[in-house]
Amino acid sequence: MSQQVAQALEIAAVALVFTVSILYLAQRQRISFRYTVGWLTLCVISAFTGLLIPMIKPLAAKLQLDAFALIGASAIIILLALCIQLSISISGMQKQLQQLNEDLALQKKAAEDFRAASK
Amino acid sequence: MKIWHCRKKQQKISVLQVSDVLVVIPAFNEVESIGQVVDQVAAFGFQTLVVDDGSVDQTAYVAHQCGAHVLSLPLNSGVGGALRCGFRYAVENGFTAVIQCDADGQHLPNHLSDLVDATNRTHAHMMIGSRFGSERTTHDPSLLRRFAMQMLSKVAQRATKNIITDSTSGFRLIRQPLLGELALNLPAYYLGDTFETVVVAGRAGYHVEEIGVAMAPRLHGTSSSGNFRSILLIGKVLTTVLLGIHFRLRRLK
Repeated sequence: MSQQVAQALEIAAVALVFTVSILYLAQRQRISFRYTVGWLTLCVISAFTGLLIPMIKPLAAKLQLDAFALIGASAIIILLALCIQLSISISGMQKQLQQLNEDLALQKKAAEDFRAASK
Repeated sequence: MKIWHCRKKQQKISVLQVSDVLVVIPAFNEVESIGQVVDQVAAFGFQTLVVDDGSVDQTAYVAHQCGAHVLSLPLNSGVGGALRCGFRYAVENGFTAVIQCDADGQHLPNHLSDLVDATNRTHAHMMIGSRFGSERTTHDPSLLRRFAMQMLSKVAQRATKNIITDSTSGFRLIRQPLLGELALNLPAYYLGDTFETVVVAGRAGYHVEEIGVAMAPRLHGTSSSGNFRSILLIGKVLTTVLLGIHFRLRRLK
């Protein structure tokens, strides 16, 4: 087995572990459908990354990088972009939660005042 | 309500009466002190709103029994979040100004009228009760904390173009139109509702002033943030302001 095939199989094995983990979390309703699909797509792409190495090599050579270094760098960039997207998502949800929290308190007070006035 | 024109800003400025002002008290598990604080505030003729920030004790019940308006937040959202909810209530119910005040009894209610008078005298949009501006104060922070607060004050002075000795004071009067802006935008995180708000208000062209007030010891409990945590948070908010990544207010026209 050549070194290239061995590396491709290692990547595929890691991707498989992640795929199983994502499916496990999704089945227990810990990740929403939207994120499950996103992560599974990434896992599938990662699993077949090894097969793309012959195609990546010319580009890596142009950038004076090893093919695996290029794959690693690309993976980091994609994950960083995902983290930023998730940060935006969480910040938005925090804002919505705070708004909901306030709205609930104000509505409750309005209802109490209304009840007191109509007595 | 008497309306007259302030020549400096060319805008309508109303003279605040006690009835125009709502005292907003954010409270989290303050059952031991809230009753006394509400009674003291009411004795000076002010209407009081206690914003119960997800307390697990009887804070809301006691405040209600003492005659305060009470808003009960289902989730704890921090002082800033509780204040913003209070500001929204004030705006929705036609109050022209609010005075934010702590629930632990450190802010003396006899200074409430001083804040109103000073606001009417200076036409400020925000009047801060400074803990360092009075000889009677018992506030004595550690050397490190005092140094950090001085740094914050320098930044606040630059933003407001005014002398600000205590930009982190939680005892302050805020009037319209700044009140309406903060009801929409006040951040919930620590120091966002105090120092950052002073800087942002100053940068947006609002008039920020301060007067010296005395401070009493807490009626009950201890501070929620230790010295180390406070310094960390001061560093965080200072970075926020220096990088300009703070919340925004519409500029005062």
